[in-house]
Amino acid sequence: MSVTRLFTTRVRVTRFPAVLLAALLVLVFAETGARAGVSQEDQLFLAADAYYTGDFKKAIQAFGDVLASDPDNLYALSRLGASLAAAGGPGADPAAMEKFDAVLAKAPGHLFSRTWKGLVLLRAGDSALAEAECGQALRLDPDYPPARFVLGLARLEAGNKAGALEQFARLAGHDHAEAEIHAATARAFVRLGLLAAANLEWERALALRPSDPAWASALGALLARQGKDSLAVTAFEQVLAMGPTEASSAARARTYLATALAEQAWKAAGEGRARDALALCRSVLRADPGQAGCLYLARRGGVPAKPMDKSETTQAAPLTPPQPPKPQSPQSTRMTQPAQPAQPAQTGRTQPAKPEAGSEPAQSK
Amino acid sequence: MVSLDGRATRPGRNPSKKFPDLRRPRRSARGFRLALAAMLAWLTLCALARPLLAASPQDPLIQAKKLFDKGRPAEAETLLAEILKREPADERVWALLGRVKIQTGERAGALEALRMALRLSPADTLTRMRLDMIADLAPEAAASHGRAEPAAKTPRPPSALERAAFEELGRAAADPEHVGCGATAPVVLDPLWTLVPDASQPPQPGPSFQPLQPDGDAALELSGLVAARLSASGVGVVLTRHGPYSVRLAERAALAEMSGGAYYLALAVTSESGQSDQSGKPPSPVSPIRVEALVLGPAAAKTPGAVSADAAFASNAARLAALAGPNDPVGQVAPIGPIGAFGQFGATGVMGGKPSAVERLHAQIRRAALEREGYALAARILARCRADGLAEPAQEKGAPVAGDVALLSAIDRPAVLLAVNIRPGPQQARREALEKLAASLAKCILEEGGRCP
Repeated sequence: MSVTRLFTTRVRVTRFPAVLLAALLVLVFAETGARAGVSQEDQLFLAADAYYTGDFKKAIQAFGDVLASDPDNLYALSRLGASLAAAGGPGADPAAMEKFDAVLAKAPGHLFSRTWKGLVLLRAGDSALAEAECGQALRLDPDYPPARFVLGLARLEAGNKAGALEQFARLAGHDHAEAEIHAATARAFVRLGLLAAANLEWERALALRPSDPAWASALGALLARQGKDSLAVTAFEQVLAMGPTEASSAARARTYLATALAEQAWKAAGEGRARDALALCRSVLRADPGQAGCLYLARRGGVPAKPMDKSETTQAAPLTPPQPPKPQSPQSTRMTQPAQPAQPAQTGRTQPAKPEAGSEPAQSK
Repeated sequence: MVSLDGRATRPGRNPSKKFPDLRRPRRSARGFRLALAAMLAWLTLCALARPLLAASPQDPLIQAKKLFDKGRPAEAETLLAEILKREPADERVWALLGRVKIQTGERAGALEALRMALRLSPADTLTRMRLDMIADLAPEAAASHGRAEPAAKTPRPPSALERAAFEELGRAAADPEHVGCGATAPVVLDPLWTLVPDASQPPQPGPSFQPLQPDGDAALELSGLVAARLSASGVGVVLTRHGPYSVRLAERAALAEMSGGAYYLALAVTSESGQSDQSGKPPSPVSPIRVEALVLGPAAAKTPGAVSADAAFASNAARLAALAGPNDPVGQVAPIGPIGAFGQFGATGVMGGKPSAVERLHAQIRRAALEREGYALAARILARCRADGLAEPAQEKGAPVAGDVALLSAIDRPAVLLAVNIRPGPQQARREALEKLAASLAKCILEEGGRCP
């Protein structure tokens, strides 16, 4: 008996009910799918989804499709402009400005288009015109956070710190619901060195969008900068626990976490706590197996160097740096620690590893 | 039963029969198929019954939706308000309430309801789109509608985080011009562990590198000397490495960001065997710093390591010319030619993940500002080093040799690279030269520290 015949016989006899049910299922779900269809609303939804998830090339295509059937859709036209500007490339800015102008011709009170015009102008280096556009948007709606942010940014770029601060402070005083503007304001505050204000804005951004790995990572970096090391470590660990995050975000969080812990390990090593240093380095190397500082420290059992050991170094004399002054803040405590570098040992054991991509470049000598 | 070779077999089974009889399904297989069929039938029933169950007239949300669809928004709103008393965290109710308020022309109310829905379900694209469609337009329509806007909420007491932020902002407002300035910000010193392609090795598929500092880790030594002087003057210092190992750029960028350093100064040391000059005197162990400026821009960042430095440089020469005004000291610094593999410095972005459109443009604006600030810093350091006789004018020797100032655009700080050539020589003379160099560099950095970026 051939195999084919065996199979067909069995299907006929024993699998008939299952096949019938499967066919029924296919019909049910196919009917549901057909009912859904790809309507214009769905097209708009797909375009918006691409835009909100940062896939600007797809968004350009999808918004273009929407506008082909509905040229008066202001949302699609304005977001097409923003997608063009964000995607960049030759001719992107004029094309984006054209879209914003088209929207504003139809609806002069379109705050988004006016603000984005300002943002594109600012990127092109015209802060005065950017300020004018955002000022106009704010006259129409003083509570429109994006316009206030771009106005602040334009003033900062123009060197008007007081004016910029006024706008950013008003943004901080208003717990609005624009998560991206909170994040951007936080970055502006970091740039200005206003870390408490930046902390507040990051917390607000993450309250609105708790699972953004890039933002959580940025908050971790800020906490580390404020000397809140354990909170920073927690923040980076949370990024890594966010599940399938984007590879770049996960790698970034991993590097930051390892770097933050490695700093603590070096501090412990500098204070002669070799065991603590080794324990910290074990955590570091679990997070980032290529962390160079901890690999070096671990090879030496948590003891960074032996400056007086002539057998290990060929240097003329150990460094005897002057004693640093007493630290005045938690930050300076962290910073002054590495100011007494270990004298490098120049033996065969200390040959550096082959450089990876992204390691420091070679001199062109 | 025991088979001929002594192994136990189940009773009733013929050990000589190697393959099961496919024509007659076994009882267990038949049971499995029946279970599978039952499961499929159950799934089919569920799929068919779901719309019926969902459309149950008992569900008040469905009733509210029907009222909304029939053009009776006031009744829908009343019903939704009742539901929200019981289920205040149901994003579907808030989303529908937002749509109802859009229909009734209550812009502020619609915005509030949709924002609440989005807060409860941040990934809801549809709600976000609807919210943006209303927020995009100025509120003049609401005013003309003649409906009263909802009363402002009673302000809640500020949290500890808010209090700290507002106090900081208050202090900043009192003296805005000195925000972000001051000598208290630490300096990030990056002693580069410089590697060069190893010419002694036979050609291999991958690059082969060797350390360029056979005469000790002079970059680390120099950094230590500079750091000691800065620390003694009250300036915090962060070193990116503490021993003779290579640190990835990502780590260095992380350290620079987490330390909050005002500037990022990379110190590169090359080692050339110096030739005696015409007078026959032996060359100085430390050559003067050759300070030049170079910015690596987007061309290098996009293809780290792959882009030719020439291409990166060409794109940046035009960029620099645009950045530098006619009276800018930056303009006096002639950019030099390509420097090895500095394209790698573009490997790390300021932000990770997929940034939004606003964030993307903001990052580009920030990057341009960083390049300007970094370039101005490089120019000032160059001027000070020249005043100290530490830097040679670039034009004197023509082609670029050791010693450059490069701006590292990958790091979210104004970043400069200083390079110096240290020739092998007697330890004592080398040490003295390094001390002198460190003193001058520390002076340059200290003078720089007091100024606003």
